[in-house]
Order: sequence, then structure tokens, then C-alpha cells
Amino acid sequence: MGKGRKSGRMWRGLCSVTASLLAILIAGLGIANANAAIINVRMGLVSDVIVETGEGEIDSIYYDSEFSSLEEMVKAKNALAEEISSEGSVLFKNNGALPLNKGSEKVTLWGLNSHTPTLGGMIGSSTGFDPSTGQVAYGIEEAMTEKGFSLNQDMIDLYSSDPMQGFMRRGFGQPGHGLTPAFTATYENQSEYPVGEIPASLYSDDVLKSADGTAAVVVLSRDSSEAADYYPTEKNTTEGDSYERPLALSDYEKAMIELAKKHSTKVIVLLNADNPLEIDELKKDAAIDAILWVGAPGMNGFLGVADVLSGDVNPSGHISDTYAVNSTSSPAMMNFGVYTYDNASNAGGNLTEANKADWFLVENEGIYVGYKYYETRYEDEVLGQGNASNSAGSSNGTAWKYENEVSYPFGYGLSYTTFEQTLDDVTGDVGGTGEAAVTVKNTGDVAGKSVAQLYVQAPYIEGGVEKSAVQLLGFAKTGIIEPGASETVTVSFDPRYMASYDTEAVKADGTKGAWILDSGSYYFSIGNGAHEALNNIIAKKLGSSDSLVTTTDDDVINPDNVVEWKIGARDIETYSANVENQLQEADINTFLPGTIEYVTRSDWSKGWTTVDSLMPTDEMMVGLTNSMYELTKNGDGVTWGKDSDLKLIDLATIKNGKITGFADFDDPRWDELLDELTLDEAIQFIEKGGDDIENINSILLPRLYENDGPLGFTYDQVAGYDVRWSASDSSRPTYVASTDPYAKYADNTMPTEPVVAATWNTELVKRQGELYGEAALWSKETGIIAPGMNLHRVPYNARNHEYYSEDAMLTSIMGTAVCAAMKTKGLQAQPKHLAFNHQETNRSGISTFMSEQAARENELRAFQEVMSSNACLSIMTAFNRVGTEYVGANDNLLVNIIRNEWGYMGSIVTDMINGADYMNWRNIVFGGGGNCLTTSAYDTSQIGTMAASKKAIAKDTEFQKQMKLGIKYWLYSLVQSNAMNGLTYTSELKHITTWWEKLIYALIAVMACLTVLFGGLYAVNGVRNKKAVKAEDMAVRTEEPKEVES
Amino acid sequence: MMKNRAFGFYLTLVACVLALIDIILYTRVMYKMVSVFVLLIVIILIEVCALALNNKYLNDWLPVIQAALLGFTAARSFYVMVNQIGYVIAGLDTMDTIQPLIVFVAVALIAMLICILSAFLRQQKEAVD
Repeated sequence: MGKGRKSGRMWRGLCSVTASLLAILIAGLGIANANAAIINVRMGLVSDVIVETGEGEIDSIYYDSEFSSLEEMVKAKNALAEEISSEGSVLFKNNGALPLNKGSEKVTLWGLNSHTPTLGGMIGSSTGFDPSTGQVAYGIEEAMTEKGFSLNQDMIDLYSSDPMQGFMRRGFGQPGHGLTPAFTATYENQSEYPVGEIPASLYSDDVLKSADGTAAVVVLSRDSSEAADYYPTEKNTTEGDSYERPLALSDYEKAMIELAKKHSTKVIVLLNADNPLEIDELKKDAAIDAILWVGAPGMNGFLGVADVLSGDVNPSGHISDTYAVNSTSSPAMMNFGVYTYDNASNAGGNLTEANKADWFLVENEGIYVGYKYYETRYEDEVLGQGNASNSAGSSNGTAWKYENEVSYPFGYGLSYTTFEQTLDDVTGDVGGTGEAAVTVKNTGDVAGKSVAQLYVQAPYIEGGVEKSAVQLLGFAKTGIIEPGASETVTVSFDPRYMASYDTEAVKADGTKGAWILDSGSYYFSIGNGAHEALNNIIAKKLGSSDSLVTTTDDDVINPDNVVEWKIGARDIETYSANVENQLQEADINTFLPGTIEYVTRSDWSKGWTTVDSLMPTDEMMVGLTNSMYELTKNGDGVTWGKDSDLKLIDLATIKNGKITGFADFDDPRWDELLDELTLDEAIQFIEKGGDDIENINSILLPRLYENDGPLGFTYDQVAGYDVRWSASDSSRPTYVASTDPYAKYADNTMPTEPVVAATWNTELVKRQGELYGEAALWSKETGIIAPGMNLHRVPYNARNHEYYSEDAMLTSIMGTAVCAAMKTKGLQAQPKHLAFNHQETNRSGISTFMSEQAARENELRAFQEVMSSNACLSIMTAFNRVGTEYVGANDNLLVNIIRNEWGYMGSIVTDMINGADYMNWRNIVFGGGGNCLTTSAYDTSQIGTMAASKKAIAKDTEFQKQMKLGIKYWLYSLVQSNAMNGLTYTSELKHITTWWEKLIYALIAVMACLTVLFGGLYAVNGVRNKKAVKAEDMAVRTEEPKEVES
Repeated sequence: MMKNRAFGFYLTLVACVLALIDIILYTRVMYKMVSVFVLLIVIILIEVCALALNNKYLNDWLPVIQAALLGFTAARSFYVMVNQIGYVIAGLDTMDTIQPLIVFVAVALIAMLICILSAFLRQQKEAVD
């Protein structure tokens, strides 16, 4: 009896074990199925494969690699990265100390950050990789050693020693970083940043002695990161160190430089930062022999920097930002950081956490960002107009003077040789194209390249439309010019970018808002940067250069380098087709008149206002509470799930194994194709547009992949070239097996965008785009979330490393070149972040206010060319709001401007859904957006998933039409991409169950069987025991109480 | 009500108390599912029924049912937290955002193990039906 009861408990116990495991497995299966795509990607598996049903060999590789192996491609990318860094290094100052003689000069690397330099950023443009693969990320020490420099090992040993660890920047767990990125909301500005330098006391006498007689290369670093910013009032958390501002030199850095000056034959400062440092004291210090800006050069860039240091490459870079004496002196810095609405959720207001709308930013500077501020005010200072000498904005509190404000102007850069540039002519016409011929002569004794920078000044009418005194229009880079030789280059430009936006102009059709060209003189000029070009123009206008200020002794003022165009009558029509005011609600004065007075040339003392308090109006609350669109019952419905054999590939014209064309956007076959989709497929495609582009089986669109970022596919998203491939792809020419020695290499090896911009070399950038396209072919990616094309509104944005410049035209030209080149390889470039992502602090949901003129002439001008030329096949929207509406759902921008004005035909995707209710799918779809970058964020939102709202969606005809339109743009862009590789008119889709799915199903089956078995045995045992008890009862006929266990 | 209860039953009671605590703990989890609350309440209600009804069959199967439900609940709670866990692993967010989930799951699993242990032990001192 006892034995039977014990065995019963054993069966029940075992049953509980298997039942628990079964329950866990069932719940786990649900989670696994919901995330099957991600699991498959990470495991290199596919659940659907394309099979060919046609006869014979069919060549379906429409975009093929120029390389025969991954190794060749990797080496080509590394070489290009090195070349970009060498051409993107900017020589600010040189008294002959550079180049170094590798054979005779021993180098001491100074600064702890020389040991852990900044190579890239964190998150979006990181340089993460797996060292065990054999891949190398070159720091300064490694690069200079490889390039044959003799380095002072004693100093390297000091920086490598244990006591240094406590001083080292280690932001986010990574050496070489000090920022602390966060995806969460904050109500306080960044308060800490460690520079990561050591005190002078840690340099022992022996170490200092080892530096005697060597050349000092002093490294000053700051790092970069997505989801982080610098802030002027931050404290240096490096123990014992302090600074006035995080972008100014710290006390330890200054002390280290003094030691370097004392113990070295020469001092060369390397600026290893994408955010402009305040280095005026170094510029003015005669004991500092040279300053070389190298930015954050990526994993291979320091090899190129070493070539510049040695003179193997003559520097030809020009800086893409203004280097101010004090980076907080620009008007844009008046409003940067955390400002909350009066009714913010943290203050108990009626905004909620789900609204994600507590913060705002009012961009008081108008169009005057970067050099457009400093140079414009300079001209007005020289000309004695606009109250320019007023102390407002002066970094020392006295009368404003240009020489006190700018260390190195935008576009500045030196060479080891000298060049003489002559602006021969500027031809062209408004409404057509323009060209400038520039002859460049090498007047020095070293071969090198030079950049012809073409600027224009439009006539400013006091009290009229705000205008920058000078703006970049175009540029061209020469080849290597031998000493004494000359080269004439042509700078092509579009005169449309000479125009200014006037919100008050009324065109012939009665609409308000236009691109205008005022009557008057338009001055074209060239120069080593914006300041030199402007000096030429002012000298031409004044007939004298007496009152002009130069930034360095190398500046040349030459009024002959100016060409004048005259425009007789004000033109408001030529560049205004389909144009009218669209962003008036981005201007806070529209909602709350008089809130802000923008900075103006008519009086430079005005506009220096910090807006730190706003109470939203009812109208503003519509956007702030995400209430822009509600589903309703309307219309007669749309067609879904129509039976047809049409596939996406059928919209492409294939001849001799090549795609020679594709159906026009208006071709009725697109509608036929879209009708084939089921509503479920459409919902899934839109609401789960994460890193995977969802498959649409009904039209034979396989699952595709898109990933970050500007330096190449980031390692944390694409951990190797082999991860997207499965064995079924092994016949593809760019298939990468896991056994390939380069299979696990990281692809994010390129220099950061400010370095790329500083090359001013579109040929290099085109090659970069081609190699990104190649990397996509070898890693089976269709889209890359790059380049970053926001502007450097302020130097304190810690994400400036993902964007080219403070200038719209330099950004536009570089971005367009790289995207167009990607397209030739079938890669879908997704420039980011449209638009106005001007700070990382509370980027998710922040209301960004600005004047429409500023929006159009700065940030939107950066995006305009790449989108109007459709060089990019896709675009990523930003996190922020424009005005109070989420920018990814703002139809004025996404429909009226980019589609109707610019003619953009590509697809749209949001940034990562980080705030599912303000980035909600209802507003996104109806506002002209496309896909939502998430896999499950809507699961936890108040609005819920699209799938859960399927019935309501099915009743809303207008909404469904918008869904179809958004998908159509996606399909229209994908048919032009490498997504078509492997597809033919006779391809079909075959579903396969992956091994892990089989495993889970098998385990569930086993556990279910065991649970039934053990449960059954327990039940049977119970019955037996019961019978036994009864038998005992019958036998003994006693009723003694006893313990009975079933 | 508690007459004839053996040690195994008291263990299910402990598990039930842990389920009750888990309800509170689950309110602190970043992203929550209603179904998890429902499952925990079901676990508690079953225990209450077992106490009130003192039904032999319910008593016999109580630890099995509770163990399975607790296991399901623990696993189910990950459903809407997968992305967040991914962010933490990728370093995009901090550990404290998933810590409440870890605590919740740990308590649920402990409760499940207690129920499994209970299943190997007697639930009653004598037959009652």
C-alpha cells in the first residue's frame, strides 16, 4: 500500500515537472513565433526560400559585385577609409614642423587619449567589432607604428599602466568614450563629462626624460554618441580635473601640453574630435608648431592620418564647421537642452507620459547657423550696419569683433604647399545651370590637391528677407598638382540655391510663400573658407581691404576673385513651382504671437532670447496629444487579396539577365499588384517595418534587411557578413559562408561624416557609396540607414559625428554623391533624419520650433537635392516633432514639400519607434509616412497594434488608400534595388520550417506525451489505491483512522 | 478547512502567496500584459477553491495545475519585454528597466518549483471522499 501511494506521488510529481515545462514551451513558442524573423536573422536561417520553376539556367543577379571575394571587398573598403582620412585631415596651423621625418624623428604621443582615441561614436556610428576575428581597429599608436614611425615606448607604457585606468574615459563600457547615452526622457541637462586626461604629477621624471629630444604629437579627444549631448555647464568628472566648458581645454590637458612643450623639439596638436574644440589659445601660442584636425577617423583612418604626419600625403582637407573661440557664442546656443512646457507631465500638467510631449526647443537664430551667423555679422560689423558691434553675443562681453569670435572659419584648411586660385568666370543663368571656372596653381614646392570653394552673396535689403552674407554654392577638388603646375576645375552649381525663402511673397497664382531672387548684385567668390571668400567680396564692394580682418597670416584678400551677376527684377516664380508656405506651424509665433524675436541683420542685438516657458494652446495640444487622426467609417472600401499572378519582379523589365527598366509609377499594373496584397500583409508590412523589411508572399517579395549606419553596417546589428545568408543562398556569387575568414568582420569601418565632408572630394564619396553597395551585396542587405544629413546646428550636439556639416550645401552635395553611388549597386540609401533632429536630449517627442525660412534654407536644403533627384531610394524620418506634430506624420513636410514640391518618389520609414503613442501608426500612415521601424513597440502602446485594429481599419477607406500608397512607394523603390537579385518571372516562394521551430514542436510533443503518461499513471495509481483501500477495509473490517495518501 | 491537510498542501499555499506577491511585483514591470494578471488571479482562485471545497480531486491535481500555470505565466511575461531586453543587451538602455521583470520571473519560478516539490508530497492526511 505505502509503496503504491509513494509511486502515485512520484507520477504526480513527474507530471508537474513535464506540465510546467510544457507550459513554458507553449508560452515560449508564442514569443518565438512573434520574433521568428529576428531569430532567423541572428541564426542565419530563412523560413521562405525562392525557388526557380523556369527551365534552364537563368541569370538573376542584376546587381553583382566587382570583387571576386569578400577579402577583396574588405581590403578595398579599408584602403578607401584610409584615403578618406588622409584627405579629410585638416591642417589648421603649421610653422614647418610638419611633416615629420619618419627616419630621423622619434615621436612621443602625449595625452592619455592618444592611447584610447575616439574612432567613432556610440550606438549609431560605432566602430564595434570582434577582435578575435583578426580584424584591427587602428588607434594612433598602432597606425603610426605600422606606418614606420619610431614611438616613445616609455610614454606608451605609462598610459598602458594600471594607475591610468581610473582616468580613462569608459563611457558605455567602451574605452575612448565618456558620454552617457540614454534612450529615456530626461528633465535635466547633461551634467558630467570626463575628459579622460591624467594629472601632470603622474608623469615621472624618467618618462619626461624619455620625451626629451622627441617630436610631440599631443592628442586632444572628445567623443561622440547617438542619444547624448554635451552641455556647457557640465563638470569634468575626471578626478581632480576641471574645465570651463566641455569643449574647452581642461586643466589637465593644458598642463600636459606645457610638459610637451618643455620636453620636445616640436609640438603638434592632433584634434581627435568631431565637435569643434575651443583652441584659440593653441592657435595663438607660438610654441604650438602645428595643429592638425583628424576628427573621429574610424577603424582605419589613423593610417591615413599617419601618412599626413609623415608627408606621404599632403593634407588637402577643409573644415566643415566653424571653429569658434567660444562655441557657446552663437545665437543657436541660446536655446539648446531641456525646456519643458508649463503643462508637462513631470509638473503635474495635462500632458502625459504617453504623449511624450513635455519638451520644446525654439530655434531663435533663424537662418544664422554656423558661418552664416559669424560671417554675416562680420560683414555688417565691417560695413557698420545692423548694430553688429553690439555686445550681444560677444564671447568676452565687450563690443562684438570677429577676431574675438572665430579661430578658424568654415572651409579653412592648409597644405604643405601653397596654391594660388583664380576665379576665371562664372557662367549660367537663373532657371538653368551654373558653372564657375577656377584655375589653381601650385605655388609651393610640394605636390598636392586643392579645393575650389565657390560662394555667393545675394543682395540684402535692410528690413527685407534675411540673408547670409555668404553661402557655399558648390566646390571642386583638383587632382594632385605638381609644384609650378596648374589645373582648371569647373564648379557646377544650381542657381536655385542662390534663392532665399520669403514667407510673405505672393505669387501670380495667389499662393503665399516663394523662393525669391531679389534684384541687385550677386557676388560669386572663391577662397580658403567662407571668410576669405567674403573678404574678397567686401573688398570688391568697398574697393579696399583696409578694414578687413583675416583669421591667419595665410589668408589672402583678392577682390579680383569676385564675379558679379546682376538680376534686374525681383524673381519670385522661377523656383517656386508647387511651392507655398507649409511650415508656418513650425513657427511658435503662429500659435503664440510675439513669443520669439528671431535674430536679424537689421539689429544684431535682437533675438538673443532663451525661451524656457511655454503653455500650449488648444491647437498645439492636438499635435502634442497625438490626436491628429482617428479611424472612421468612410468610403466604399478598397480591394485586398485579389487573385492574380502578378509579382513584383514583373514590374521590372529584364533583358539578357539585366534589369533595364521598371514600370512607371502611374502604370496601372502597380494597382493590380497592390490589390493582390491581403490586408494582413499590408498591416504587417507597415507596422513591423523594423530592421527587416517584411516579406509579402502574395507578390513574391522576400524578407529583406536594412540596417544602420553611416560608417557601414554596424556590428551590433549585422554581426558579420555571413549572418543574413543561409545555405539555400550558397549559389549566389556574393554568398558568404561562416567559414570565410572575413565572415565575422565588422563592416562599420569608415571615418565619421565630418571627416568625409572635410575631404571636399565627391569622387572619394562616390567610391564610398559604391563600396557601401558592395558591402550590402556581400552581407545580403537591401537598405542602409545612412548617410546622416542633419546639420550641425550647434557644436554641443554629441551626434554631430553622424552628420557632415553646419552647412546645407556641403551636406547636400556629399549626401547626394554617396546615395547616387549606392543606387548604382542596388543599395537603398536611407538618409536620416528628416528633419530638424537638432539635439539628442529628449529627441523623442521634442517640439522643435523655427521660422519657415530657416527650415527651408538650412535643414531642408540639405535634404532637397538627394530627394528631388531620387538619388536615395528611401528616407528615414526623425524622432522629434516639427512644431507640435511628430515629424514622421507631418503631411505638410512628407506630402506637400517632399512629394509635391521636390518630386521625391522613394519610400519613407520612421526611426525606431521609441514612444509608440506619439509615433503612432495612425498618424504616420495618414500623414504620408511609410513603414514604422519596430517589431513590437505597438504591443505596449495605448493605441495598440494595427493588427488589433484591423476591423476598424477595414472600414476606413481613406486610411487604407494611404496604406496602399505608402506601400506602393516602398515597392517602387525596392524594384530598383538589389532586392530583385535572385528573382525571375518564373520564381516561386517555398516555405520551410526552421530547425528551431521543429525542435520546439518536438519538445512540446514530448512534454505533452509525458504529461499525459505521468498524469495517467497517477490517475491509474489512484484508482488502484482506492480499490486496495476498499479491499483492506473489507478484509480487516476495522475503521481505524490512518493516513491515506492518494 | 485545514483539517487533514498535509505538508504538500501548505507548500501550494506558499506558492499561492508568492503568486499574490507577484501580482504586486508585476505592476512594477515596464511593459505589462493583462493576461499575466489574469493568470495569477486564476492561480489564487484555484487555491481558494481548493481550500473552500476541500475536494479530493482538486486537491490531488492542485500542485500540477499551479506549477503549469506559474510556468506559463513566467514565460508569458517576456512577450512584450523582448524588445526592451534586447535594448539592454545591446547597451541601449539600462538594466534597471528590466530588473522588475527579472524579480517577477524569479518569484514565479520559485513558486513553480515549490508546487513541483509539493506534487511529490502528500496533500492530505486521510481520504476525505
